[in-house]
Amino acid sequence: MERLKLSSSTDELASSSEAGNGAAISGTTGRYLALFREGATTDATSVLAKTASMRVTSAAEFKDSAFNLQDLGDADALVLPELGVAVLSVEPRQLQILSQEAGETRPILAVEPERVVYALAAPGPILAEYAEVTPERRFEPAPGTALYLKGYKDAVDQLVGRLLDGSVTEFAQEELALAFPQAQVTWGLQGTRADVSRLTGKGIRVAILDTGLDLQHPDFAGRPITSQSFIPGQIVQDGNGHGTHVAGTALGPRVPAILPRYGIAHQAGVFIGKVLSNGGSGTDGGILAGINWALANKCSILSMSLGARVAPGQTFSPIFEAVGRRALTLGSLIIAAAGNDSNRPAGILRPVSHPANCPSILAVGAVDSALRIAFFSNRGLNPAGGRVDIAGPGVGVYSSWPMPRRNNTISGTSMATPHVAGIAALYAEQSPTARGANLWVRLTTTSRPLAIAAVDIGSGLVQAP
Amino acid sequence: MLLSPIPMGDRIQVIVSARQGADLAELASRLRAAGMEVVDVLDQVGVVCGSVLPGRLSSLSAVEGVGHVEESREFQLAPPDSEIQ
Repeated sequence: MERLKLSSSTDELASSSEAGNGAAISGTTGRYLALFREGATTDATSVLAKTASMRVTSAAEFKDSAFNLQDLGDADALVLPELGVAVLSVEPRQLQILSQEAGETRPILAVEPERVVYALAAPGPILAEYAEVTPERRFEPAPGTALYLKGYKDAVDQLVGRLLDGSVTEFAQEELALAFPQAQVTWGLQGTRADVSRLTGKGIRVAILDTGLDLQHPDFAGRPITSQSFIPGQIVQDGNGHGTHVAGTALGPRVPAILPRYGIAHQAGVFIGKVLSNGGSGTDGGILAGINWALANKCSILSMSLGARVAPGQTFSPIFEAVGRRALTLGSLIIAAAGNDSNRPAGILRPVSHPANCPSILAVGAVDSALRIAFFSNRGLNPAGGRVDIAGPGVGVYSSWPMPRRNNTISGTSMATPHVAGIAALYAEQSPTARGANLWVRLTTTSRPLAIAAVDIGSGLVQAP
Repeated sequence: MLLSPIPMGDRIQVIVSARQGADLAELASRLRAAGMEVVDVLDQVGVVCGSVLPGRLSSLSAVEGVGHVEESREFQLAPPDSEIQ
């Protein structure tokens, strides 16, 4: 995509928008708007200049903030301080960086494709609405500036309106999908900001209850591992793949020998409980034995990428609910997959699986790299318990796999679950009080709302500290 | 993933939780006396696992110290070469 200059004329922008040359999405110009948090213009400008390596200019640099677009030269970012907005001409990598930097409590609140450029007939008096005009200082706009600024005010109003009603447009999500190249690190780690967290899970024990682990996998070489099989007649060594993949996402190395990075809590304690056979089967009894072992070993986080289908209207297991509550009391959080029984394109929606449907077990739904709900992800349909509590990356997830294959890319709420587990370990490391129910709350309150119903994603997409 | 408790042979796999405050080891003894073959006594979670003949299942709930009795559900992952797991 040819990058448009800030100084492109409206005619150039209009024709590129129609022709789709500079703009990935029709109706946009190919440029972007960044909305700054009130009072954070200096910090936000610094993010543009330093973090995203942009050449930044400001309307304030021009006499009386008056400029023509042609004055902008080679600048990548034009800051409009009165509006708290910057207009950007970005490369995809810069867009990715800024999208990650943006957030409710950050200097840059949001980044969005520039959609609207107005040409208005009435300059002059319009400026008084938002520019500081005092008797001592009279604002003398150069021709075109008022119109330009008014156009951006409208765009900003729209952006603020969207943020305030809590929605992010599908359109912005498409942009984010374009902003997830995976040469260095998987989209799941980017989308949850796990890749930019300085936390490692050090000192926190995470139990993966699954089909075991390839104990010879080079990405786990030298990592202390505690393991136990609960499958009669089978050793912990993973003869399936699922367990290795899941463990990789939650606990894989920060710098694997072969990129991209795919693992989150790279220094957490690794506890592998084989509760599913090499054929992928298990029972309540075996899973409870695994949970019991993990609690006895003081694991703060138990990750269970497993579930049994539940009928509509069916209630949750009293025994697993009591176990979940007991775990929370002990300062351990059980995290389980919401299940993959649904098929939304076919109109099939199924309820959250057992045991994720227990109120005291954190149920994880799956989203894809465009931050849409995964078609297979179950919905919180059942009245008693049965909710989806949070969501994680669950489509096209790259992780480890038993040798010699080494890596694999698969989908499922099974893949979303260890993202939450790994990130939970980061929060647990960050704060000694982030345990059990407190850890649950920390995860859900810091998650990122998406334009998806809560019955599908709970509080939102998990975000790393 | 299936949900259907399937008897292994002719025995039913069960999980039995202890009522709040009940001694787990004593509960396990009483369950054995009631005909349960006890495989696991899980002290951290307060659950006894094992199997029982179909005719004996309903009597387990009456055993002193029992919280809940459930038939053990079965789990099955999609095959490892599936796109969705």
